[in-house]
Amino acid sequence: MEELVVRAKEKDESAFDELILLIQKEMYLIAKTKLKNEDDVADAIQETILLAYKNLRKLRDDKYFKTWIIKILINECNKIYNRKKKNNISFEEKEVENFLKVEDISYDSIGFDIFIKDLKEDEKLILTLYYYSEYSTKEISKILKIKENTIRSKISRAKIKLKNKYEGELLS
Amino acid sequence: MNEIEDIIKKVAKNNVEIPAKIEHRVNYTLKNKNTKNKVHYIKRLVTSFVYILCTMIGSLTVYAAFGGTINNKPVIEWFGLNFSNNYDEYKEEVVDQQISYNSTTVDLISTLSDEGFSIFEFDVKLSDEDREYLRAGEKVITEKDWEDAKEQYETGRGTNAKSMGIPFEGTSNYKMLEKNKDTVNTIELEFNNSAENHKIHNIFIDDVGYYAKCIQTTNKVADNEYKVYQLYLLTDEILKGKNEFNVTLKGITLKNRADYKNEENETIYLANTANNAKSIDISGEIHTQISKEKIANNSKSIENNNEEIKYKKMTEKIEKITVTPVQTVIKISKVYNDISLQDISSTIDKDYIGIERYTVKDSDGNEIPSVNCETKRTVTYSNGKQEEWATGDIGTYKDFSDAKMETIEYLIIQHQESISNLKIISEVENIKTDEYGKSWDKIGEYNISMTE
Repeated sequence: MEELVVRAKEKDESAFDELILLIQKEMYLIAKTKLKNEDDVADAIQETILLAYKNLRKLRDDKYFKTWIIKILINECNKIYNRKKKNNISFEEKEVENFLKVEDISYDSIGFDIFIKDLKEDEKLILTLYYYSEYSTKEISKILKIKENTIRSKISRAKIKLKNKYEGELLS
Repeated sequence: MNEIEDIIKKVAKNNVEIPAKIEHRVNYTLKNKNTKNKVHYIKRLVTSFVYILCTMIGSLTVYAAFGGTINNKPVIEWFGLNFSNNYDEYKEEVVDQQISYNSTTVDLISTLSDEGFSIFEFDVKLSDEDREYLRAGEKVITEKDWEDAKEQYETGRGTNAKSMGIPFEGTSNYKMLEKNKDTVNTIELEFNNSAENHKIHNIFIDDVGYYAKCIQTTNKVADNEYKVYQLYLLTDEILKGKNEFNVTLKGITLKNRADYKNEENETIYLANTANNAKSIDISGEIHTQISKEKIANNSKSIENNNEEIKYKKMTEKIEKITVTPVQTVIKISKVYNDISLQDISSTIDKDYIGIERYTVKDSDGNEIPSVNCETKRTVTYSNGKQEEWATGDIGTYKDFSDAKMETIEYLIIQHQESISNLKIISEVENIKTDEYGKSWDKIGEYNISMTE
């Protein structure tokens, strides 16, 4: 990835595209923890890509590209989230919920976003960063500017919730 | 606990399916990322409009019962404020401001401007050909969309190329489509579609471009005729105290859109597919002179006794109260001191302040319909550098701290023939209870005597 970042910084557009495509699933999952509506997720990702493209040269350490862009993404998600008003929940969101309730659950195929969908948004975000993106609690602490102990306790609490939720289904 | 740990790790390795809509947007953005700021600005323009629209639609569920009429037609009832007969009395007729495309015409026929917003009334007459092209009056979801959605539903969860052709791709939206299958298209007018000089201007006042918050509603008069009401929030920040000004509207596009008023659940934002979304660019400009004198002469200012509400790092106060013949307008200023990016963007930050709302009541405790809208947002960093951000926005992704943010917000309250006191209750969204704010925490209230 670092090599791609170097090339992208030298205005190699295909390298930049490749970088984005490499992490697009991760971006989608992270945005989904905060935003339910697909249009909002798409907006957040679009803004993030444009900001990253415009400001890539300002990235000091190439190895932190992913962390850097995730920070941008989380901020973009927060911005969109903050604009949301009460009652402005699209039908799309409600229907996603309904649909998922009747879906067969199998941990061999279930998507990570669906698996954690009932957690609180901060728990979802932290779990996604920890288990999917494989960041350490220390790194997550830096990304989210939350104490590492808080990150650990949120992970622990989220795991208990998941255990309770899936006890009769996945764990049997 | 180890077992759940293993399962989470296993699930995290499963393939994540990105919806086609997201994939398409990523590809589109990568393809267009180099076209200066075009892709960015176009998206923002559209988003801003949709956002405002959604906000107002959101308020409908609360205020719909109050209704409102213009010329005895339920034109602005979904906006939630009742202008009653005063609209007719104070609106100014406009003549000879017509633009056309072949036989289709767009006429500005009246304007009304007061302390809060200005209303532009358009009469749009469509030729048979253009009505057909815009699919005005026809169902938003076509038979083909329906078949695609049904097929997706039957083939299981997941997205494929076909999902790009329906308004809300993904099998989970099947029920939504079914419920709204009879929603028809109406028309809308978009202003300054050309994003001239890459700047977002949807109105020109005395030849200076502005992006003013706006809302639009359309009323069908006949199969080929529609009345379009465009409401701009033209406040002090834009008009700078002018009571008379010239307005120019240009770059006008006629488009089709779902007629929300016909939908069973009016909070839905239903869109035409890429194939079914149609637009017609209409060349020419509309010019008109607007005077607020008549309304200003019949308005009164009410003093507020400098009450303030303090909450976390925010202090807000009422700057100005104006009672006009059509509404009551309250200007509210807010100052957020010593803030960091986290304070305003992260819902898990201890100093985070959620979305604020106001509930307005009369002296008997009856709720009065109202809407609020931010019109200015300025941030001053610790080094003294000042930036103006888009309203409601967080304009940077860079970390900062010890900054000051100032906002101006307007609370527009439905006209009341006679009222002695107003109580305005200020509440913030309780983030902990629900992601999208199911409950609100009161942070203070203003009690205003209206008889002064």
